[in-house]
Amino acid sequence: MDEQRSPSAEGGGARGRQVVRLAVGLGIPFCVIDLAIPFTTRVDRTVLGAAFPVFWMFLSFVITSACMLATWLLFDRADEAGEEHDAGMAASETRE
Amino acid sequence: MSANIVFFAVIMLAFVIVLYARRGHGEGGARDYFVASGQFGGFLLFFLSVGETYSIGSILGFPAATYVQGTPFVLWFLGYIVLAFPLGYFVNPLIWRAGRRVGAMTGVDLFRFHFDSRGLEKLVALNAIICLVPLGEMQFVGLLGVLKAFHWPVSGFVPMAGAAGVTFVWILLSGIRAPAYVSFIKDTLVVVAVLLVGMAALRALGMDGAATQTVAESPVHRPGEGNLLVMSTILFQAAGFCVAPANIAFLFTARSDRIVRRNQIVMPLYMLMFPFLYAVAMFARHGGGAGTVANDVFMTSATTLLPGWAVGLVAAACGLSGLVILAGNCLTLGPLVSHNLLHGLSDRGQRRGAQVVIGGYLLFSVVAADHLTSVMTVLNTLFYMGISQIIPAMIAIVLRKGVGAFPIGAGLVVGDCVSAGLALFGPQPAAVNAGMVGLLWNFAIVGVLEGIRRYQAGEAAMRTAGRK
Repeated sequence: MDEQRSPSAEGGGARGRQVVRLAVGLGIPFCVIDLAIPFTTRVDRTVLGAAFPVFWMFLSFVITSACMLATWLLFDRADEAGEEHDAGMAASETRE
Repeated sequence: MSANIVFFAVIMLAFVIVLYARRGHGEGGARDYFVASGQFGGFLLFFLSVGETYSIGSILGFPAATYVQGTPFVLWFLGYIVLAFPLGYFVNPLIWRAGRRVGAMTGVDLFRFHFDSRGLEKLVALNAIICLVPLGEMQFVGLLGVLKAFHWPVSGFVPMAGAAGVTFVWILLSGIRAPAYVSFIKDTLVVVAVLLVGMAALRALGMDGAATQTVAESPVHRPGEGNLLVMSTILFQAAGFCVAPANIAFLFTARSDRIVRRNQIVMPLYMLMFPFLYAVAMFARHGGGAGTVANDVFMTSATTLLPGWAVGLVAAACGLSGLVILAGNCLTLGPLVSHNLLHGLSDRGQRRGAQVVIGGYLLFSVVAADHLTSVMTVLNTLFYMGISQIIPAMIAIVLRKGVGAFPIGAGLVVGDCVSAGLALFGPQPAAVNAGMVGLLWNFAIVGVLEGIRRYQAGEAAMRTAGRK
């Protein structure tokens, strides 16, 4: 089946892979760090002596690092040239 | 006495390391001097880049501002730094590649080659220089705060002049290798110092039951208030962090884009020292800092909680942080003048010219720390607002999009003016980050003027085709 995939299907697969890569590496950290603020600041509790939003921010250091590590292991480590995945972001980097 | 001995021993050790860094690189060209010929591996790049996270401003400023402002400050300050790392994971390799394509030595070189405009190059260089100027003074103010702990019987000018001299000699000897190599001991010492003071603060808080109960209540924390300002500041400054002149200059020292990317993974973990700095602020807030001036929270806590030798170690860590960041700023600013503003200098002339500029910058910073602190503080608040206005241009550069130099330049000027105007004269407290508003104006101006440019170019092409 794989051998018979059309170029457009392959392009769609690469794009999907890019979306997942960006979602894991940047999307999740962005949600945890920034978008979570209206929710964490509503929590009136303390964790380990810190206000909850502050504790959540400390926790985000570990989550962010884990997300980048996952992105590296799943998508970028095997890419020896280090360019393949960015090519999607840079729209194949062709000068207009 | 023991504090003095430890402090000067560490400064001497840093000198030995600078001399070691010089080995085999004594007479390299300007490129080697400013960006180490792009030969740094992951280890040196990590310490050079992450050093920005624990500047003297962070070590002294974070507990001080937490002490005064509480939770909203903690959220935006930590939020933008930690978000900058995943953003850099994707963006920094693209910037590195853009620099490698054109052999760039400074971030501003990217503008010269991509937009083919000397005018835009000079405008962006001036923008960066104006933003960098107050950073030198801030390091000296921080150093002065640290050295107060020693109660030396001299005026503040003497230790500041000494610090400027040390930094200048480091730079003369080893260029960019000086802050990179010294960063290793600086960051090791910073980790030890923050742990020492933080653990002592936690222990002191733990002994006082009342203090432990009120630790979490202490931040000025009103749910929902100012969330949009905090969120927009995090997003805006995280993006600005990636395009800051020093960050780009440090990226160009890397041997490969893979090294640049891999380093980003570990950087958020390096921020795990901040909970200890938070504990120091809480300690000061709950009795340990009675009568303390906010900026002295960290050093006052250290002198209250630690023995003399440990205070010397903490002061040395803070002092090295200031010197390393100062050296990094100098080596970013010098070539912006000698390489980007003054064209036509030889390789040797660029290096010498930058050294003269750096000497002048250090002198100005010392004088400003003595006389112009209020002006510099205002300028410092505008730092991210100014440097982030190159974001539309950087997007065009890394994605290799053809955009005109005029729309980019006009967007930059409008973005700067709107940001500074709102920050200085707009409603306080603002609902949204002023820099973010300026950046949106910037994008809009670039979009409209680029659309007009393309329309006119299309019309001209059609007229030419019609004549044929």
